[in-house]
Amino acid sequence: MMEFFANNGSALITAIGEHIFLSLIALALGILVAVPLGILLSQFPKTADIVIGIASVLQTVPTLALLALMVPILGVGKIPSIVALFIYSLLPILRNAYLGMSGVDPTLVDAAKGMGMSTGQVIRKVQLPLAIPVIMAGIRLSAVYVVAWTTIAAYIGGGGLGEFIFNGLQTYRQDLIFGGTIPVIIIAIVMDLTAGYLEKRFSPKTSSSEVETDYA
Amino acid sequence: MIEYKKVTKVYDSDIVAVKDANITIEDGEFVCFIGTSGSGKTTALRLINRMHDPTEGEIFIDGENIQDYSPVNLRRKIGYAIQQTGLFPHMTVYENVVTVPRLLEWDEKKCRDTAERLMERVDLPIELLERYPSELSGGQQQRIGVIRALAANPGVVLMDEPFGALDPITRDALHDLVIELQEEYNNTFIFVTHDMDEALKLADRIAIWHEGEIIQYDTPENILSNPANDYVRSFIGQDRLFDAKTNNIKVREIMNDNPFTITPGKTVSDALTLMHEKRVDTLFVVDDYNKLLGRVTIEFIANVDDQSKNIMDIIDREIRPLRADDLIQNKLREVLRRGRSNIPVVDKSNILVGIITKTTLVNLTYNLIWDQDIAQEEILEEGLSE
Repeated sequence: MMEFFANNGSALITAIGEHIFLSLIALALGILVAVPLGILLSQFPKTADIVIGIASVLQTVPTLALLALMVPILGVGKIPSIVALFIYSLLPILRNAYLGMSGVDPTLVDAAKGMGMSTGQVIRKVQLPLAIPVIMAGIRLSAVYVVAWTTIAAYIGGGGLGEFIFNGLQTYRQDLIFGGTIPVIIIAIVMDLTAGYLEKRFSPKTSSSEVETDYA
Repeated sequence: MIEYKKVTKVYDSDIVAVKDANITIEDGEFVCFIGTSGSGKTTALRLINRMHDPTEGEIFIDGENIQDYSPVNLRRKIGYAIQQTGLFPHMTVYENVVTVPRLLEWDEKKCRDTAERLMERVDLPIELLERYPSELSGGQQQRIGVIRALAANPGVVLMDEPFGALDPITRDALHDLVIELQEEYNNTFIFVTHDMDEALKLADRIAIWHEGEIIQYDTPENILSNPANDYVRSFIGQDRLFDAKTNNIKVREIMNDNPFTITPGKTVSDALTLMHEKRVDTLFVVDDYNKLLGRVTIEFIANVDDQSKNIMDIIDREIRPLRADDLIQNKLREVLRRGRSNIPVVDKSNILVGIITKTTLVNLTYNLIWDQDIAQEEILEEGLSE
């Protein structure tokens, strides 16, 4: 164990850094695109079915195949990895953003409109706050997926903990496999807990006596 | 004033929700739209604040075509309350109440004052303003729904079956509240319901909708006494029609309109003479305008030694007259309980117009009991022949 850290310590830290970096960038891009798109789609339910259908199809492309497809288009390295991971992160976020927005009790939307809120105000003041828990759940799910998929980015030179795992597989070295896998699991759990905390944090209050509880 | 002029609303090019509606709702009037589901009543309501736009025809509020307003600006001037409250769960009661004032960009102090005044008005503690709707009972939530609709003091208030989900007692209390508030602020109310009792209780006028058309638009009394057709009759229900026949008798209709009176200047002996002459034991004291002041009875006169005393010295002012427009059904029990035989009847300005005597009551009771069977049979027959 100590020997493993002595030999691979600095490489491991670099890999963890790369892994987190790739995941977070892909996820951030996913959020930036999918959340507004989901909100927009909730205003056009007919278009929404089509767009979500397309996104679902993209989702069925195997991760490895999508990464491989990036190589002829964008070459190897971090950029194509991030693009592929970003595409993967989209669907859970998009779908939850759409479902969250359109799942808001229609009587509330009716009341808001009926009292004279503009479409923008209805979204900002009523739908979005009430959809936050569902949207955050989508982001949380996506975060965990992206951390796992980032492992495969090593195949096209994206770096990250995948390098340890693939090297380990090729050379039958268990220490490398575990050395790559365990941090991935830890990162995924930490992401999940963080997202869970944020979900709780940003969810609207609906009770004044609500006690802050740990969310895990 | 709200006017529907030849308003038609068609959904999806073939579902006719409202067909050529023409009605006028006066300022300060409380109008109920009643009908079964699919009758067009809710669509008709939602046309007013442009939640729907008419396919044909126009709606005017105070002479202005509502199509000339942007929907958002129009709606901010019109109160709106819906079924199941529509309160925003993520906002405090305060934020909910001042939704429209905030949209209208009132300053914070005015918002706060308005919210507190309305909470007091509906007997809810001010502290509740800081709570969330989920922490309130159903009745409290709907009270908040009502005051939210009234917060910006709109001229027109639309309510779409707001009390449908409440228990009868809470609902009754809210009816009283809505009536009081409407009288106080004098808004025009349009209230959609499918419950005839609710409509009868609340409305100045009722519009009965059926298959997108208004079948009858009239006061509750007229609808009960003259249902436009069999549909209205069946909608009102046999029980209510029967009750209406027996219950709508006004005091004016059964009273004896020739009470014996005496004016203040007369003496006790004058009164006694008059009583003897007319063979009565009670005289009502009225002024020159026939305004009721009190009465003198034979018991009082018998206890007076000095027959030249002014009758004003022995007048009994505790008379509690009935109003000519009171419904006898509301007063009968009171009359019988009081155990007095001669009860004066006055009009709105306290002018004596008649008297209810024991004989009147005997006649009324006789008619009610014997006519009741006849009336009931008639209605049943009408019902069967439909």
